[in-house]
Parts: sequence; C-alpha cells; structure tokens
Amino acid sequence: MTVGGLDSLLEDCTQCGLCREVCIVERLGAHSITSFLLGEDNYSSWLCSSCWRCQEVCPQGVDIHAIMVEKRREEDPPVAHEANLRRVLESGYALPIGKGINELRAIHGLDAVQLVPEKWVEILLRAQAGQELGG
Amino acid sequence: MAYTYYPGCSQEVSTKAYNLSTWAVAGALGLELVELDDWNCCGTSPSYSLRSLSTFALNARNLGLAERHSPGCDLVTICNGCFGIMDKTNRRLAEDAELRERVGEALAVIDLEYRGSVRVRHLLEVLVNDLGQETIQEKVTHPLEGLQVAPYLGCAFSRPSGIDDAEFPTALGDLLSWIGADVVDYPLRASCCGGILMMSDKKEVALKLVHNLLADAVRRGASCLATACPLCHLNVEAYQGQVNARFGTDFSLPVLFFTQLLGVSLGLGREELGLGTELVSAAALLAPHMT
Repeated sequence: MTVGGLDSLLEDCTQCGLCREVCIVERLGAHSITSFLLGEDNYSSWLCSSCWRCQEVCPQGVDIHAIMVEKRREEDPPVAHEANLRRVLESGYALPIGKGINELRAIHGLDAVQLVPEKWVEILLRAQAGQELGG
Repeated sequence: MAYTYYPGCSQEVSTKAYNLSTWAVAGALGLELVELDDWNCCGTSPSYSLRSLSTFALNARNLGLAERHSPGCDLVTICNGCFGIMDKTNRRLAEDAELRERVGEALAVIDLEYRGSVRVRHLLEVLVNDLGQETIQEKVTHPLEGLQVAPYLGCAFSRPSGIDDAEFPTALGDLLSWIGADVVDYPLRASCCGGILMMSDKKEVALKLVHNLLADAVRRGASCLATACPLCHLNVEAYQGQVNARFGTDFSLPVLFFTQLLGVSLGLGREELGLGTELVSAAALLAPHMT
C-alpha cells in the first residue's frame, strides 16, 4: 500500500527514542512498535493501541502509524481481529445489525434502517483486484 | 445548516444510548441531522491494518453517498474510531492519486464516485465550534451544578486530526463547564483506553490502562466519567469488574456519554437519553438534576 514500503518509511528515523518515552504500552512494561524502531526484537506490533502519541511527538515527522501497519502484516493477527475483518467483509458491518432492529427503532421513533446491503460489499471489494484481497 | 449523520456500527448494537441521546440532544438544540442512507461500517482499526485498500474503499463509499445525497453538508460522526478513519480516508485520497484511482475504480462498479468534497467532523467539535457556548447555554434548564465530571476523550478525537490540542484537548471540558458541571482536572483525558487491545489476546495491557484511567479519575474526586467514543466508553465501563478482580480495586464509577449529560442539562427525559442502560448505574447520581 505504501509507496516504497517499510524502508522508505523508516528513512527519516534517527532512533532518538522520544516515541518510546511517550508510549503508554511501553510504560506498562510491554513492547510494541517503538521498540522495533529502536532496533529491538522483542515486540509485537499488535500490542500498539493506535493512540498516535508517538507520531505526535516525533521530531522527524516519521509516519509511525504506517510503519506499525506494515509490521502488523508480518505477524499473525489476533483471532478476534481476523473475525472482525471477516464480519466487515461479509456483511458491511463490524457489528452486524440484527433483524429486530427496525422494531426497536420504531419504538424509539427512529426511521427504519436498510438491513441487507444488497451485496454491494461483495461487489465493491471484488472490484479491487490485487494482493490485499487475495491475502 | 444540516449535517449528514453517520452513527456507526456500535451505536446500533452495543451503545444505543449514544445514538438515542445524540438524536435527542440535536432535536433540543435545533441541530439538523440527516442520517446517511444505507451507510456501511468504517472498517474498524484492526481491519485497516489487515486490508487498508478495502478500508479506504468502504469509507469512500460512505463519503460518496454523503456527497451525492447531501452535497455541501459536513458528515458528522460520534465515534472517535469512525471519525479517525474517515478523516484519514479523506486525507489519503486527497494526497495519493494512485489510491484515488483504485478506490475510484471500485466505487464505479457500484455506480458511485467520490470527488473529495465532504468534510468529516465529530459531533462534540460541531457542538462546541458551530453552535457555541451562548446557543447551548440558552437552552440549559437543569445545570449540572455540583456534579463532578472527569472529561475523558481518549485518542482519536484529537490525534492525529488536529481539531483540538493533541495531548490536552479542551472541547469536552469546555462543553461540560458550559452546562454547569464541575469539571475535574483530568490530565489523562487523552490517554488511551486500550482500544482494540481489550478484544484481543493483549488484554492485560488494556486492563492496566483502564485501571489507571479509573484510579486517576477517582483520586481527583470525579463522581462520573464523560466519554465521546463508544470504544472508550465500553472499555472504561464494561471492564470495571475485571479491573477490580485483577488489581484488587473497588471501582464502581458511572460512565456517561457527553450527549447524555448534555441532555440532562437540557431537561430531557431518561428514556430519550438512553439512561438506565448503563452498566454502572448513574440513576442516584443524576436524580438531583432530573425533574
């Protein structure tokens, strides 16, 4: 996805360590993407909580979030996240809406929502040929 | 001025009270919301890590529908997660021609296009900046005097969107003070709730983060937390029992959506604000403020 991949994303990093100083996960004794940036092997990019704090303080403007995303693809994702992705791709919703929803919405005076997305998700995603859909 | 409203999945399922109270508050304040017809999920943050292109396409579909049905209207969401990823989609599409082309091809299959004209916003920021203090205060009939509220915004409201200070966002505290609440000084207001870690095998880290959020709020005298994101809300509310079991604490802190607190100050009723559905009851806390 990212032009030039990981190497180009890492180009401006001077390993100053400020990112790890502000990382809430590191502060709790766990190791995530900022440990990777500082050259360590013991980390999991799936431990990143995506709080964007490291990116906010980076004096070099490194896109640490993009690096984290790239690294995540090298690791097996947690089972729950794979299941989540499957739901999104199959139904269009992370939390698929149950059949009783429109009765409940009527009680609260809300308009009905469309339940079945008429296969558009499948169509939309099938239209995107390429490695991301194949994987 | 009308806004296109994007509730997001959580608001239909796990945090209906946020959706309900949003509609109720918008009605009372004269804020015109039009729900985006046939919206789909924003893709969620873990899915973005696994399939960025699909996530951009899913979000571009929502943005394209908004552009088609309500041209010129801002798209308003109430979830930090949806907000962050829709905002990111907008930015990436604006700066990356190749991505624009690939997403455009996908949208074309469903006879849709997105020209990039929709501005993505968070309801809290809309209330604070578009309506403003005077308009809101005029409608307050039940100021929340004496209610000690810790304003908890979490990450994606202000990072990396830039709509508020990244580390010390003020929007939520400002709004709460306008409606009469005693706003607790809460330095962890933009600290992370653990987000998706709570739903994975990395839960231990998330439990510690939630423990710290609760401990600091209680230490500073908060009698409840106000939130502006369904994921933050779920983590700091639903996991209090597990935090207590893990750390030997005794937290029982009500957590309310900022729209619920705003609604109470506007004199709205329990049912229309989804009150009574919280996991840690706020009934006793709010009783003095409700007629």
